[in-house]
Parts: sequence; C-alpha cells; structure tokens
Amino acid sequence: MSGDSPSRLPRSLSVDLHVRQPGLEVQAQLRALPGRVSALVGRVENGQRAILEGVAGLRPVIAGRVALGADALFESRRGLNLPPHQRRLGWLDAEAHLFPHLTIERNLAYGARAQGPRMKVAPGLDVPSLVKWLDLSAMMDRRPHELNASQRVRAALGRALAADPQGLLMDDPLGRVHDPERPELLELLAQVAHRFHLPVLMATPRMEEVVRMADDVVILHDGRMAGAGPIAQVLSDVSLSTFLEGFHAGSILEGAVTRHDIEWVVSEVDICGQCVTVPATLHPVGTRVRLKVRARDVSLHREVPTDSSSTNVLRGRITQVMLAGHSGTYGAVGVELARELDERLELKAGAQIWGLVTRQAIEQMNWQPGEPCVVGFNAMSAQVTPLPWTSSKRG
Amino acid sequence: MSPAALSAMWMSLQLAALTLLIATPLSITLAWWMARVKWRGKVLLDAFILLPLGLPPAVIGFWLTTGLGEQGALGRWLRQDLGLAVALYPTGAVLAACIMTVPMMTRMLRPVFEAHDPMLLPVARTLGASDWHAWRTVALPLTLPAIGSAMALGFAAAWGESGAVLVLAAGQASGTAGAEDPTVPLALWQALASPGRPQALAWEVAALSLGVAAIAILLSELLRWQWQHRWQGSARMDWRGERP
Repeated sequence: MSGDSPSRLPRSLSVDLHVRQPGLEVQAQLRALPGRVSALVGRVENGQRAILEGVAGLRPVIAGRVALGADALFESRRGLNLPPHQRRLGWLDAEAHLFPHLTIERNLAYGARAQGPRMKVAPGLDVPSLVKWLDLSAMMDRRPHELNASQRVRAALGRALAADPQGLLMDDPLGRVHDPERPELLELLAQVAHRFHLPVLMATPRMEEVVRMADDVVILHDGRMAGAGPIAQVLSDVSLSTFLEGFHAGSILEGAVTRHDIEWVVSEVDICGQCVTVPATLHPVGTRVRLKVRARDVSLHREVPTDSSSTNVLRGRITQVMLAGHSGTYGAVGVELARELDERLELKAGAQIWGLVTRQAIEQMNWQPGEPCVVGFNAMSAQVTPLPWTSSKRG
Repeated sequence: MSPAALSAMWMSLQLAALTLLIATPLSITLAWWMARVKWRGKVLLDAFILLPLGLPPAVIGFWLTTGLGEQGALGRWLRQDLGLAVALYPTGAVLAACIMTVPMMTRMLRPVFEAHDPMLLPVARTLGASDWHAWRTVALPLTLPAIGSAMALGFAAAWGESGAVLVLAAGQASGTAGAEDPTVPLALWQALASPGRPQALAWEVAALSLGVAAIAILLSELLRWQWQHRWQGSARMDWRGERP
C-alpha cells in the first residue's frame, strides 16, 4: 500500500504532559514528526504508559498540552480536552485488546463503522492491501482467541491503521510475542511510521526495538526526563545509560554501507568519512545503518596501533573524561570522531563514541579533553541495524 | 386448570414482566457503574444498593405501605402534585418487586462487567467510537448472555415475590388481604386463609410456580454457562497471558 495520501496533510504530534499515577508524578515533553518515531525509554514502570494514556485521552492529566500540528487536542490552560474518539490517535499495546466477539474482519472494520460518515478515508488507505501487508488474509474469518500472539498484534495494528488515525501510540507492542517471532514483527512495526506518514510515540523496555525503530529518544527516570534528543546522541551518552536497564553503555553511530567483501565475509560502513569494518550484513550498498558499539569494547590509543586485533581504528578528539563507578573506579572517555569533507567539500555530520576504561588507564595515559586520539574496536563488537525508515529487504 | 389459577398466573406474569422492564436497565447501569467507578465512599453506596437483599421483604412492604398510602409523603406527592393515583396493589407491588430484584441482578451483573478486559472500551474509543457507541458495540454484546441470565433469575424472583406483596395487598384491602387479581403467592396464601381451605387451588398454583421456577433457573444457568464459555479462549488468555 502506498501511504502517500496527498489530500491529507501529515502533522507532527507534540506532547508536553504532567500525569499522576499511583506513587509517581510523570512529566515529559516529546514530539514526533510524521513518518518518525519517538521512543520513551527507561526502566520498567517509570511512567511511560501513563504518558501514552494521557496522550490518547484515556487517563486524566494534571496539566499540559497535546497537539497535532497547530491543532490542540488537549490544553489545560484553555480547558480544552477532546475525548479519545475525537483525537484519532491509534493505540497498540502488548495485549492487542481485539474485540473477542468479532471476527478479525469485523475488528478491522470497527473504526470505519464507529466513525460512520465522519470518517474521511484517505485515498492512500486501502484495507485489502493493508490486510495483505499484515499477512492477515487467511484469518479474516477467525476470532481473536484463535490467533497466536504475533497474529493478534498484527490484527490490532491493522485495526488501528484501518481507523485512519492521525498518529499512533505503541506501548510495548511486542511484549507478548515469543522471541522467535519478534524480529519479523519488529521489521513490520519499524516501517509503519514511514509507510503511513504517521507520527509515532512508542514505549518499550527492549533496547533493540528502540535502536531499530526510533529516531528520537526520551529517557524517563522516576517520572522525570533524564535525557532527550536524537537517538545517536542520547544513547551514545554514557551518563544516560545508567538509567536504562539491560542496555550496555555504548554509542550509536550512523552511516551508510559502502562495500561488501565477499572473500572475508565482512562489510564496510562509512561513518563520518571514516571506514568501519563490520561482520557481513545483507543490507545493500548505500543502505543507511546504525552501528551499536559497547563502550567496554572500545580501546583508546595515542597512535594508530600497528599490532592490534582491533580491525577498526577511527581518529578523533577527546571531548570528555568522566570518572564513574563507586569512588571513581573507572572512567568514561568521550571522543568526537574526526569529520572529513565530503564530495561537495562540506563537513560530514559529527559522531561521538564512548570508551569505558579503568581509572588507572586514564591516569597513566593522562587523557585530557581536547587531545587527539585513536579509538579502536573489533569488527565483531559492532551491531548493525538499518535506520527505521529504510526497509530491510534482504537482497 | 381453574380460572383462578390462570388469572393468578397472568397477574404474576404481568408483575414480573413489568418489574424486569424497570429493573433490567437500572441494574445494568448500577452494576456497570459499581464495576468501573473507583472512589473512597463507594463501599457505603455499594452496601446501600445491596441493603434490600438483607432486609425482610415484609419490612420493605411495610415501608412502601406507609410511604405510598394516604398519609405517606410519597403517596401524597404522587397524588396531589402529579395527579397519579398509585394503588398499593398492584402498582406498589411492582415497586416492591423492583426493590427486591434490582440488588440481586446488580450483584449478579457486577462480576460480569468486572470480568471483561477493561482496555476494550478505551481501545474502541481510540478507534473513533463515542462513549455510548463503544458501550453498545463492545460491552453490551460481550455481556448479553449474562444479562439474559440475570433477567431469568430476576423474573423468577419477581414472580414469587411474596413478603412485600402480601403486606402491600393487606394495606390496600385494609387488613383483609382480599385483593382482587392476586398474584401466584398471594392466591396461595388466600386459598389457605379462606374458611374452606381449597387445597386444590393451592396445589395447582404450587405446581405452576415450580414449573416457572425450574424453567427460569435452567435458562439462567444455561445463559450463564454460555457467557462463561463463549469466549473461553480469549477469557483464559486474559488472566493467564497466553493461549491454552
């Protein structure tokens, strides 16, 4: 299905909410452009769901504003509070919540029936191709309890999209899906925002989903925003990774695949004009990808090491040296990668990489901000994920 | 079957049908509200709604007699300000049956509304359904068999409601309990109280009542079973988090 519907202007979803849940006051600001995904991350139950429910209008909110483009859906200052059915923000969570008394077909048709003539179906919204895309054709006559977890999530996604929403809210949509089925469904979810030109807000406890899907990240900790910004910046900030469970401090680097080496079964990725070797990926040359490199896998050198197993050596300049751990037993060193001029002689976008080293190493090598240095890491320690809006068709 | 028994049955039928007509929407509303609303004073209100279940029906009948009678405040208001002539029997009997039936039906329906996935209606709202539309297209169809089950039991209860009805009928006929058009339990009582003690009529209405009760209870249980097993797959999934 083409999500391109010229008659409907996609609008960004901006949120600034103050919500109360038992034992916690949550405050967050975030914004998703059409076709882009903003992720709320943090340890379990730090108020991510409360914020999403507040955005949908399913939970009383203390104060704030929710707006689609310039149109406010909720604004405490003006006493404006549209009911959920007038906000037209689709909802998807781990339980799917399909209507048990309706077949999948009637579940998908629910939004159109409920909205009746009010629903202005976008020309791009074509339910048969939606059904095909979600691979639901074989189960249209079945009832929800006859579907497995992955099929239920796909049906619930189809139901939300068929109601022609103006935005999508996802709270841990893969939470009930079994591990083997997760990657396929993740690929599907990663395409939703771009394909339907929708702003998407999501919450998930699994970092691989954030890395695959999100463009912007908001870290919630104890109901407060501990950090926010583009994913490569936020998740590369070692000081923020302490707020994330199961997330090893590291860096997200963005670049494009430049070459596949069939002889050695490796691929090369261009990061800021420097070449990084990674285990062979199936993404074609030119695909924009994200590399995740754990900070503990990164080594720091003064000169390019001549005898080292680190396949990757990147030049840069130290920006930050922080001591961490109990009484500063180790330190995090931030390195801004050297940028090269591209073919139009413009500086390429910068990137930051973090290394975790012992305090001993920091003091013996006397690392100081501003010094040039060389970072090394093994090709095997880089994880490659395509950018959210690139389809990862293997070819 | 004697005309007296037939007439009693017809009267009881009318009383029960009228009671259901009033009690069903009322108890659905109350049960829904009690299942969904959360606030501190709720437990007191819950208790108040269920209070008639614990009271002797005759007490309800007595209060209604004084309230609706010539001197009662409610009766005077109805008669003088609204111009409604409210007889203690049978009109008051319908009211009494409602007071006895609503708490019972509410008690039956509340766990039904509590059993369903509480996110179904909110999700329906996000799909563009208004509050009422979501209720009508999701909550109602899901609970329909259980509502039918409560109605069947409510019918049986209203049919046999005797304690309050006896007192009301006694109040109407100034102490003689000689109400015309008696309901089934009233006819039985009248038969036993009259000088000749016509046992035949008593046996007849007793057998009739047994039949009606058996059908109503059986229907109630069948519908309840259907409600529990209809979406069994999804219901079991809901509390265990996975499919059987």
